[in-house]
Amino acid sequence: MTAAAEQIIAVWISEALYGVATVLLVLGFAFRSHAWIRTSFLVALGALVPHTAAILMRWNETGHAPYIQFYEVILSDTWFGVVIFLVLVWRYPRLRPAGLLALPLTFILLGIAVLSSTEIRTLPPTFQTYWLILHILFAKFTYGSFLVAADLGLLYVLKERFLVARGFDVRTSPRVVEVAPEGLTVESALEDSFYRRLPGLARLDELSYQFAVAGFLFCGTMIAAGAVWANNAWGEYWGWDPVETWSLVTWLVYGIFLHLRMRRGWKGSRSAWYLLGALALALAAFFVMPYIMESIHSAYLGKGFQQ
Amino acid sequence: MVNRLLKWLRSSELALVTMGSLAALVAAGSLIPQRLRVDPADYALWKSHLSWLMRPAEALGLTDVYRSSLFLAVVSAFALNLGLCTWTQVDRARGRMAAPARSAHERFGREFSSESDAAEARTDDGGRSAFVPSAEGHLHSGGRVVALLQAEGYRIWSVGAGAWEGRRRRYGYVFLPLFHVALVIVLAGALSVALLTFRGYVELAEGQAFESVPAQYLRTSGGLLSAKPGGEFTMRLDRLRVAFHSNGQIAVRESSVSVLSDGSDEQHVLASSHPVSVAGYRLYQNTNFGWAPLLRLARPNGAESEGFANLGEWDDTAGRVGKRSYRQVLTLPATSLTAELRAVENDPGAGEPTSPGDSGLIATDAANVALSAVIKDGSVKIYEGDLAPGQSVELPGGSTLTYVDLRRWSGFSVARTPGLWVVYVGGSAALLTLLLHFLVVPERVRVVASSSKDGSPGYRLTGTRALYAGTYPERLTVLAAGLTAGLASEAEAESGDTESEDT
Repeated sequence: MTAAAEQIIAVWISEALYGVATVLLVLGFAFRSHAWIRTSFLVALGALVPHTAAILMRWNETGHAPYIQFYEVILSDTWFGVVIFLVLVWRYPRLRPAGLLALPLTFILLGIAVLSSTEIRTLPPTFQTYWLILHILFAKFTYGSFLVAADLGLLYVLKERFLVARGFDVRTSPRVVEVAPEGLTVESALEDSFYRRLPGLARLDELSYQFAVAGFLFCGTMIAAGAVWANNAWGEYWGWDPVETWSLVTWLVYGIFLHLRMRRGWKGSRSAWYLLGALALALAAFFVMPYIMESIHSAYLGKGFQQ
Repeated sequence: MVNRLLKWLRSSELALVTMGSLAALVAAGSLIPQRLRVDPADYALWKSHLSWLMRPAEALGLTDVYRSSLFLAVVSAFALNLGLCTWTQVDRARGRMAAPARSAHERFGREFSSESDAAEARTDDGGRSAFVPSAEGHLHSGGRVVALLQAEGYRIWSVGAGAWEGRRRRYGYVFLPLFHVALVIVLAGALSVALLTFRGYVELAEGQAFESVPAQYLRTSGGLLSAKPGGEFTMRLDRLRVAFHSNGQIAVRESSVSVLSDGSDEQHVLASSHPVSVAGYRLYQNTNFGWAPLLRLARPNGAESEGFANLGEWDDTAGRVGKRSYRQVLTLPATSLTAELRAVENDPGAGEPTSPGDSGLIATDAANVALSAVIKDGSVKIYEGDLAPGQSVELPGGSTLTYVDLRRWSGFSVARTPGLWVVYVGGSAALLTLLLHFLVVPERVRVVASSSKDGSPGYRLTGTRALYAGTYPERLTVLAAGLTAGLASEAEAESGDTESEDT
């Protein structure tokens, strides 16, 4: 069996495991079972092993880090998304259900990637610079951070809906507080419900904000590193290339979020919904725009090739 | 009126509107075909097929959005808002920094230190919380505690049921204004780059040097105050080295060049993404390269000029099945003559591999290329026939056109961006200050009306550790001791007032 075939098999194994993890997670939510969610987390952890192996095999096969073909880009982007999510869960084990967005998205993207062309592209001379490594690395951190921020936002929305249905009053100013129905404490009002073991709304809100801030910083660094690279390669640091432009749009959209949050007090569900919408935009900027538009970035998705 | 206008101009509402508008405009610019960026024929096709979109887009300037009045207005509003907001923030930060440090005596009514008061402040939970007792006989309202904390620089808010929370940025308030200053610097740098940049493009065959560099994007970025290299130096391409991967994709593309100025001759190597700086200009290895016939035009006065014909692939398959054909029409300088050059690769497989999409000549050997020329003066044909390396054609007026050889050529970009360092400095400062703003987290405190283990009333003080982990217990101790002393001194003052009133 060739190394390329082994690599594809590794991707298929991880794809299957991410699929199982996704199903378990969804069932965990449907049946309010933390045991299933814990199993889902363990399966996702297991999926990361063949996923990592596939990346290393690809790296070895091509001689460069996996970032210049749609297949490679998705392979490494999803890896970063999953790792950031797993690190979060390792730090806060109660956030295992937060994979509600990260795992299905990884499953879908990886599925598309493994069905796309796996043709090997060699590294063109323009790509042989450290600035490109920084640019790409921060792009992946950006994707992972925005994904987890939205993930936590989704969890916030779900928990808040549950609490409101239970008669809770959720206040968002000056900070997020869930107030139990009169005569009850938060613990007694939630009894042994599924949502009781999730972190409080304030924690979810704060964490999603922190990941959005991290993503905003990573996105800024990605744009800056890309600008330096572009200047070294073509003599202009900004050329209004469509993908470049959409990175700026994404940065501005998250900048608006920070202003809304810090100056207008946007917290709670408004913040969570905003982050979900912003993630959709970031995904379009990262994966759709380079594919549908003429761009120097199209090369990294294998469409056309700027040598 | 002016004050209200200024307040609005520096408001966060305007910041949100301008950021949103900027995002919407640049997004539109990437989605709607831009007049100067797409092929004119494609643009005409867009206009005819999507007239419902293109007509209003043209009216709004969205088909040339990055130079439209609308875009300039939004960027100007953004910059104005940013500048005014920054001014206010910096002014406020300066005010805070200039405020004289108050002594502990002024703050709490007496001197104290963490060492001497550590025993006095009752910390619990391994130093994680502290109990601040109410002065004997004086159950203070929370307002007293809040006022003392506010005097310490905390922003305090009530969270209900006799509890307050607050936070204080010890250094953090400096970074956000600095971040905005950095963004202003980026915008200023970007403006200077837009105004002062020269960006040109030149193609040289091996052995050739440029006389001047024509601006690359005459319509879009010649630069209002552009300065073209001329006189300061010239550059000669000595050798272009191109290597290919086994799959035909390019692995290496680098040029050995000589920079000639004032009689000196400096050797440099230009490679993709690795430019060279010369006399305030940067020279870039462009992605365009290939092989082309080098022609020399000798005039009767002895003047000679050289140029190469960058042949484009030509769909002339009649009688040449399986062979690639090329054509190029040249205007011979300082004459009224045109020369149409045609070439056929005898053995297409003998050339270099090319990257997908390339259509230039790939033959590396003149013997592999059958070159022919049709030279005309207006519509009058002067010469038609084959050309071999070294062969000359006599032209009317005594000039001679010689096909020198098949040569390697390469494209080079030449740029002068005087304000770029300002953008870089501003961008780096923006990222650094933003990082520090979020990294240097505020100190947080929580005060809850409580009672001690022996039942005496007071307040339980807790805080977040965050970056201050190492010093947290000491800080908490000092703060608790300070609050205790402050409450006590106020109680004494109140007692004094009451006694004097009674008297």
